[in-house]
Amino acid sequence: MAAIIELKGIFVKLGGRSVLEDVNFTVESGDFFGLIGPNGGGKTTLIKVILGLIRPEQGDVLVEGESPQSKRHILGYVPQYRTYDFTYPLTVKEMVLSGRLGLIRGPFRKFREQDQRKAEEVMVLMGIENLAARPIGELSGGQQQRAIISRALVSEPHALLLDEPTTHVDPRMEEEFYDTLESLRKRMAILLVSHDLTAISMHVNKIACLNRRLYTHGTKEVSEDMLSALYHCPVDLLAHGIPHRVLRTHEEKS
Amino acid sequence: MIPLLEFEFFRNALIAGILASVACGIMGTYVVVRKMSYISGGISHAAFGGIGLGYFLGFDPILGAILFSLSSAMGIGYIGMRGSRSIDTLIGALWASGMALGVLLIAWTPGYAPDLFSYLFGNILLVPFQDLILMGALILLIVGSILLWYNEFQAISFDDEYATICNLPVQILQLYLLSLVALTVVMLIRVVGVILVIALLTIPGAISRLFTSHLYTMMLGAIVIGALCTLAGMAASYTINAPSGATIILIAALAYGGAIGIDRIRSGSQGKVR
Repeated sequence: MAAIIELKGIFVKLGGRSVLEDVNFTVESGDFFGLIGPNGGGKTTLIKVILGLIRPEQGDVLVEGESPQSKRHILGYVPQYRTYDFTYPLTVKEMVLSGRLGLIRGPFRKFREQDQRKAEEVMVLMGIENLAARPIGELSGGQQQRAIISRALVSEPHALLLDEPTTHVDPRMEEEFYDTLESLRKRMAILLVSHDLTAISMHVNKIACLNRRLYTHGTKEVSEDMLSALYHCPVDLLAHGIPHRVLRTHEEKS
Repeated sequence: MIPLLEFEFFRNALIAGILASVACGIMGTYVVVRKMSYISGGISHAAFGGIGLGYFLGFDPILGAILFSLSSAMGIGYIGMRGSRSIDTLIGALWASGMALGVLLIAWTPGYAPDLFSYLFGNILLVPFQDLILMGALILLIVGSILLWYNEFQAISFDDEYATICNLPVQILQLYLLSLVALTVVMLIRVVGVILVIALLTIPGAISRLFTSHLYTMMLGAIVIGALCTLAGMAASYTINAPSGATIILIAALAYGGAIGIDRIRSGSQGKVR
C-alpha cells in the first residue's frame, strides 16, 4: 500500500499555544481513516498542516512523498461548513467547476471541455445535477454540503479530507452520506474528521483520537483500536451519536 | 436637459458619469462580495492626504491621490494577509490621519485652494477632458483584467483558502484586486468626492446582488444601476439646483431602500435576508 499522506513528528504552535505535539500517522490508499477528538483538540489544524496551509514548527509532512505545496492538487478538501458565505452570487455548477482550478496551468485559467465534463459527472454522482444552475444560497444545508463535496471530488483526488462533514446534514441523510463515502472509497483514500465517534465507527478501517497528541495503535482492528484510542479521550465523546448504530456494530461482532 | 448637451462641460459630465458607473459596477461587485467597503473608505480618505500633498508641492492633486490610495491599499492588503487582528483599528487610523494630513497640507499651502470642496463632495460638472481619457484607460485596464482573471478573482473572493490549495497566486491576486479598487476610488473622487465614494462603490453592487446569481450578472446589473442613479442624480441636481455628488448618492440610497423592500416582498414567506 502506497502512503498518500505521511506525518512525522509534527509539532504546531498557534499564538504561543501548543496545538499539536509529536503527531505521527500515515494514510494509505484504500484507507478510510477516522479521526476523532474533542473540540479544540487540533483536528482542523492537523488537516491544514496536511494541506500546507499551516507550517509545523517541527516535523515532516509528505503528500505522496513530496511537500504539500507541490502535491496538494491530489487532495480533495471539504472544509467545515460554517466557513462559507452562501450569499455569494455563485451557482452550484460554478462552485463545483472552481475545484478544477488547481489542475489548470498557465497565467490565465480558463475552464476546458474536460473540466465541464468532469463537473457534470461529479454532480450526477452526488445527485445534484438538477441543481447545477441554482445559486448556492437557495439550497438546503444537505444540498450545499453535497456541492462542497462535489468541488473536492471534481479534481479527481487521491485522498479526500473531510472536516466535520455531517454537522449540517439532516440525521436521516447521514446514513446516505456515509454510503456515498463508502462508494468513493474504492477510488480514493478518505480521512474523516469528526467529534462523533459512533457515526464513523461503522465505516472506518483505521481510527485515531487527537487531543493535542494522537492516540492510535495503527492496527485495523476497529474495536480494540477504538477502545485504546478512546482511553485517552474525554468521556463526553461517548455521549454523542445515534444508538442504533452502536447496536448494529455489536450484532455484527457476535 | 437636452439643450445642455450643447455645452462641452455637460457632455463631459455625462461621459464621466457613465465611465464611473462601469468602473464602480465591476470593482464595487468585488467590494460588496468581499465585504471591503470599510477598506475602500480607508483608501479614499487616505487619498485626501495625497490631494493635500499635491497642493502643497504644486503638482496635480490627482497624482497625489493615486500615490496615497495605491500605497494605502498595498499596506492594508499586506497587513491583512499576515492575519493581523488589529487591521480594523489600523484602517480607522489610516482613514482619519489621511484626512488630517490633507487638511494640514492644504492649510500650509500659500494662497487659496479653490476646488477643495469638489474633492470632498465631488463635482461631476468640473471633470476636464483629459480626466475622461484617464478614466477610459482605467476602464480598459479593469475590463481587461477581469476578462483574463475572472475565474481566479472569483475563486479568491469566494474561498481564498481553497484558492490557496489550488496553488493560485492568492496574495498577488488580492493585492492586484485592491490596487484596482484604489484606482477606481481615485476616479470616483472626481464624481462624488472623497467622503461619498464608498456609497457609489457599494450601493449599485448591493442592489444588483439581490437579483442576480452570478458574479458577472451582478457586475452588469451594478453598471446599469450605477449609470441610472448617476444620470437621475444629475438631472435632479440640475432641476432643484443642488450639489451633484450628494444628489447622486441620495438617489442611489433611495433605490437601495426600494430594492430591499422589493426583495423582502418577493422572498415573502421564505423570510430570507440576503
